[in-house]
Amino acid sequence: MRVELSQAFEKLIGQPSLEISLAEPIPVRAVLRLLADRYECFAKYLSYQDDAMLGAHLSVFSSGRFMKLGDPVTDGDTLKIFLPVTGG
Amino acid sequence: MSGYHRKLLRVDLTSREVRTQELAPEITDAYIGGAGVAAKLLYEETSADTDPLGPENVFIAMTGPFTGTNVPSSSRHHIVARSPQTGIFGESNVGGSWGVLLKRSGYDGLVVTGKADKPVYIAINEDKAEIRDAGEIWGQDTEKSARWLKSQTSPKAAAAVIGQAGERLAPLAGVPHIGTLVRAAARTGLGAVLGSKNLKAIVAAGNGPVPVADPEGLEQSVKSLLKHITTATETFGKYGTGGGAENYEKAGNFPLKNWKQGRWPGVAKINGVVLHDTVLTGRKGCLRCPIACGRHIKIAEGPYAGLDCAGPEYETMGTLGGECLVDDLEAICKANDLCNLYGLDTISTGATIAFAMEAFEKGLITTEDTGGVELTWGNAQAMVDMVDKMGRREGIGELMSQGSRAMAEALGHNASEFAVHVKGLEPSAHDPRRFFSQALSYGTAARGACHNASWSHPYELALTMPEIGIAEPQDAYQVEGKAAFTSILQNLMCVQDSALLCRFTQIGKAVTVNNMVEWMSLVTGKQWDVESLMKAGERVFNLKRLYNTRLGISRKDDFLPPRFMTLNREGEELTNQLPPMGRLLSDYYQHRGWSEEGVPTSDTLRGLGIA
Repeated sequence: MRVELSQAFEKLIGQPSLEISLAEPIPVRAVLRLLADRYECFAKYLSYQDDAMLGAHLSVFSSGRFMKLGDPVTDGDTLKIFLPVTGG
Repeated sequence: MSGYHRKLLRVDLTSREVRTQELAPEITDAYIGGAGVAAKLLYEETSADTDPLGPENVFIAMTGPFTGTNVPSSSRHHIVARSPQTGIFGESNVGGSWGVLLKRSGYDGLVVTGKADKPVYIAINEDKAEIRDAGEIWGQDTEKSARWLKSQTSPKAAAAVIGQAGERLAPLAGVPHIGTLVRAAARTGLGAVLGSKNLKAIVAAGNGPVPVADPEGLEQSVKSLLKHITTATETFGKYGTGGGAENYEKAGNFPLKNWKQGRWPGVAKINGVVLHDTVLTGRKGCLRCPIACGRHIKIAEGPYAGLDCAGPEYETMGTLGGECLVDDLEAICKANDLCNLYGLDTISTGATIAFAMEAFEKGLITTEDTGGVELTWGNAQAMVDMVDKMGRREGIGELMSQGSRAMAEALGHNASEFAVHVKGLEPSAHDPRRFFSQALSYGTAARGACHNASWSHPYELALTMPEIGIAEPQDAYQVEGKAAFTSILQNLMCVQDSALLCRFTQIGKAVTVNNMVEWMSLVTGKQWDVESLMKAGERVFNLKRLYNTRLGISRKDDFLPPRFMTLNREGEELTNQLPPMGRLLSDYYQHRGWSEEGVPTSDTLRGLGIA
């Protein structure tokens, strides 16, 4: 699985993307846990148990679709992590 | 009942009469305040014959029960008049400090009628209001004018002040509000209404108390929630409204090349993160707002060196940036500042420039029209030059300052095919091909293509509000149930615009409808519940529709422009679809209790207590 990061997150970990191998499908929540294991800056996002709460700080997209915490991710997927959806 | 002074200030500029009018409890019980009461007054005091730029048009500024209280992010007010840009219901909601200072002056709202025989301003302070001469600042920009107005009144005052665009009756002229920060009530051209009345500014500087039924209860309730609000909106406050621009481009929501293009790497240069890391010098919040999404920027070098002003927000990045394919953030900052100084709506200004760029590309206008400017996609300086011309109404700027609908009509040929507006109002920077609730919202909002009428797209992504029936986010492309979903959120936004609460308090579920109900009861002393509050919101929405149907608005006006109905954008991972507006509108009218032509039925109006 490939994780691509937008500017704000790229700055935090020092690279625009990373690869994570998945033996089996896992939910987005578990992907965030894997990221937090590697990079402490992601740890704070684990406390949000609800899509609406997490969505205020971070958004996850795959194939142009907004992903929810419980959505499954497989090894061939590309996730894109952005700052939250906001707007005026 | 608390929450209100029960007093409206009425100023007739023709007779120079200044008086007060009672704001009756029956009106606020039904319409709450803010947008609701303002809509009620406008409906009663204007008619289908009212000329938007005539002395008979009525300019109304209303606070709500939350304004000036401890309720967080409530330092707001709502302005309405018949719009010179669209010809229909005109409205704009704005934060800052002006609404609070008006309410602290002892008034719930202000109604201005007539026309002064020379430029004037209205000074309001501690239960006293005067019409004063504004000859000294007529012709000046908003910033210089506000400085002078404060020197004549109070350094702590806030001024609702028009620039040259409003004075020259530009239909895209808004009303910047300058107090401790700059906030613009920019949409629907209400700056031109003030200009038509020779009214340069309205200055508020009150410092009196605001009545609250249970101040201790309110303080306790707000205190218990404040940390949660601050935490939930932390990221939003840090990067501002533009923080999610890249995200929106990825989602297929960001407007590009007059809504024609699907993908654009330039968004990586013009978003809230880049602004934060380059030109941002500080965050600015409306009075007592824990979110503080406002930006202040400084530019030290380059063609825009010396700029030291309010920074652009998301919609401005989307319209002056994405729609024009301008990836120069500093140029966008410059154009944003010019809009504030001239008093222009950044959304309609940027959208109209994008329309003009397409007209230039198609040969409908040439350098002879533009005064030698190569109005090509991505030409940052050309974009800035056009803002300048529009603010001054000089050359082609005179036509452009009327907006894309008027410009398309003037250009003829096939220009209306690519003039992107609904009922004459250009959309904000959210693509209705990505969020079908926004397609409905653009189609049915009283003022035209307005995302804020429903603010529903976050509820198609992540947000929920179970107490009003939104237990789960609704799929953005789902047609079944979209009418009910959108209507509920439109009603909720009418509640927020009437009580006066910023939309951004919904981010991360920082504030819920249950919180609003509790605060309404604590502030007013009247027991509200979810049902009564949402019914009031529904009443407000229907009354605005009724205003428009009286002018002949119906289903024929609720469709989206051809670009949204017929053009699928192309690009990697773009999942846009064309909104099925016929089906969506039919479902929507049925849900609302409107006729198949989109007119509220007499049964519906009776049920809401409007008829």
